[in-house]
Amino acid sequence: MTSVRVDEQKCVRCRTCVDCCFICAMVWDGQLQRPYLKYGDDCQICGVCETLCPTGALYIQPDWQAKHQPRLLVQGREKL
Amino acid sequence: MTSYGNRTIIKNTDILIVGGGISGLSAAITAKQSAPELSILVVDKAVASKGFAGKAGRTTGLLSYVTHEDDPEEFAAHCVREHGCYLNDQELLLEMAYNSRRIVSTIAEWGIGIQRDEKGTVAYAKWPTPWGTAAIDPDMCRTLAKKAKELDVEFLDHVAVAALMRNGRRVVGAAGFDHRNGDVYIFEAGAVILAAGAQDYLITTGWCGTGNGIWMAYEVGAEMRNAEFGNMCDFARVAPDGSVYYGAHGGAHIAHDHLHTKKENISRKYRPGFHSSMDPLAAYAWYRETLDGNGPVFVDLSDFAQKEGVLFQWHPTATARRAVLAEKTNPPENKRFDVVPGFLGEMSCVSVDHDMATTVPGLYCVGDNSGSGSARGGAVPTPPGKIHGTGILNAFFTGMKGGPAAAQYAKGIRASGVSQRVEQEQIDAVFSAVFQPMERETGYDVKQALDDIQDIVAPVDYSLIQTETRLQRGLREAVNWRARLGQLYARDYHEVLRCLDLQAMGLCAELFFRASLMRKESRGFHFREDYPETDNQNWLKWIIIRKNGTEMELLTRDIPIDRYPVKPEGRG
Ligand SMILES: Cc1cc2nc3c(=O)[nH]c(=O)nc-3n(C[C@H](O)[C@H](O)[C@H](O)COP(=O)(O)OP(=O)(O)OC[C@H]3O[C@@H](n4cnc5c(N)ncnc54)[C@H](O)[C@@H]3O)c2cc1C
Ligand code: SF4
Ligand code: SF4
Repeated sequence: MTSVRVDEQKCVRCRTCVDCCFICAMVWDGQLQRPYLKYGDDCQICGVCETLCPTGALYIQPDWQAKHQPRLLVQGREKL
Repeated sequence: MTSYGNRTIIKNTDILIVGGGISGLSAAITAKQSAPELSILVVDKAVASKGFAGKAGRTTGLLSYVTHEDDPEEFAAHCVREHGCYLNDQELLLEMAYNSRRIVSTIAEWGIGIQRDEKGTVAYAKWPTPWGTAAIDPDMCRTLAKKAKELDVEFLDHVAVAALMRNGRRVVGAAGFDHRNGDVYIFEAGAVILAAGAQDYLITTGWCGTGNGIWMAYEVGAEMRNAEFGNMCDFARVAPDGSVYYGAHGGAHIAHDHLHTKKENISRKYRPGFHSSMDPLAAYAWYRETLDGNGPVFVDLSDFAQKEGVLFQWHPTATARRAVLAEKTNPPENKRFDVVPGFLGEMSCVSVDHDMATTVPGLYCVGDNSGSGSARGGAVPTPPGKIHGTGILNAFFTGMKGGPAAAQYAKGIRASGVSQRVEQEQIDAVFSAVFQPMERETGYDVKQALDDIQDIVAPVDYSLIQTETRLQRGLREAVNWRARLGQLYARDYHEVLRCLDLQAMGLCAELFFRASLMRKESRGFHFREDYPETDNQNWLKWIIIRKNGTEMELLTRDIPIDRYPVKPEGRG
């Protein structure tokens, strides 16, 4: 599954990465005081959280193999 | 009251805007500018208050418009003939053409960054066709949200609107919930503007419209139009390890003019000449050659060294985003890579008039939510629908029209003093349905259901290259799949949100297959192998769909072609 790496030393806890996630995949962990990609399946790998992080603390690690590829790209082979 | 969610919060507002992307925010700003005394609330499931919601931030930031070198009437005529194939609402199209330069200067006044040349005038890439394409800041919604807040527009983030509420036929509000904690919201509103985006079935990364606004409008009886033009397509890159990279980022957005088989350049064979974007013929080239055993179809990057086509500029923010994505999408180092059709979607069939009013009183619909339903683009899915950069233009244009029109209506409601109370019975019915998946411990898994609907709609021979048999099969599968949604189970409120999306996907799939079956011809993005010709005798018609009891009612409406300036040959 797509995941996030956060450099705890660099993270300034501004939550921009949580706010900017348009699909609400990134969530704030109140206990650990850090963002985490709770819904990795939903992540659109848009990279916006990474570009907006003010300190470069965040890295999205994509898992392209895990993304569902719709069944048989051509399935209706019957003759006209 | 039935028990559901956590706290219940009631909000009263003159105008409720569902969705705070470009169209919702520009509707909010212009509504407030036209009627400062009205209260306006923007609700979004993401964070619209800071300008982070919606697609804008993920775009390549291309803004197409009718430049000072171009003639608006020529632009409209070109769009009617080449893209919309005479299914356009030509009056609305002309209005956008005439207003597009004003829109560009208005948004520049609002503070949105658009690339300029050294003289300070907007820089744009010129097409050989009557429009140009400028580079806009993808973070434009951050500027829009700031502007809206300065005007006292209110925001509610992380709240998903689940249903509209009615009093008789009139829409008087909506109901929603906070998908982080389950708090429920009841909105009483003078007017509601849906700005909730298109339906993309979450297939291609970044194309995240889930059609909630289409579902909500349909459920309260609003008419749908042009649902058969619901599926846009692109090409996706197949990596040597078999991974498929969908979408502009790492996909093969420009592939449509550069397709090859071992034997020949099939783009030239099937679709000679200049094309501003993808269309079904490009997908057909891939499909036919693959079925004929000539695959794999590949793109040759050395084609691009020839500098053909139009050279875009990019806003620095867009360039920075592309750089981050490039690192994540393993761009091919070799000159050739295989491609397969990559489904985008962009269904947007809520029918609206020139005020962006739906057929239900009190309900307006703007942006991608009503892109093809407005009929401005004609026989295409919502923009870009064959012109890169008109998605953003359309979102601004329709937002700026719908905002003031809804304000006018809401003023009337306020003056008349009619009740906007939402009946408790309606509220209970909505929330018990919405939260039902959380009451199940097992059933149809949300992720599995998403994979399954993607399998039904995405294959190119179901979504784009069609026959009666395949459409019938697609419809059967969509209807059967919808029947399974009663067994969905959700582990948390976030998954409840996904359940809403799935309901909307099922509706959209059915709308698409039914409308496509009805249209027995080929036109624009509707491509039938069994009816390959365009039939201007019988099919200068819009297909309208509406809810009639529990049934889907389909009918046709003649296009007022005699009233329009651009007519097909043989129609005077
Ligand atoms: C990758 C990509 C690149 C693109 N590039 C370009 C380009 O370069 N040029 C161009 O012109 N167009 C481009 N487009 C198209 C363009 O982004 C859209 O046409 C435009 O942003 C649509 O704006 P909108 O406000 O209508 O909808 P959206 O931006 O989709 O906003 C809809 C909003 O509604 C919210 N919402 C949805 N359902 C609910 C609900 N139930 N409750 C509460 N809120 C809800 C969503 O969270 C979202 O914020 C691109 C699109 C993508 C995906
Ligand atoms: S990459 Fe995009 S979708 Fe994924 S967590 Fe970041 S902002 Fe959200
Ligand atoms: S945006 Fe960066 S600094 Fe801010 S909370 Fe996220 S990881 Fe931390």
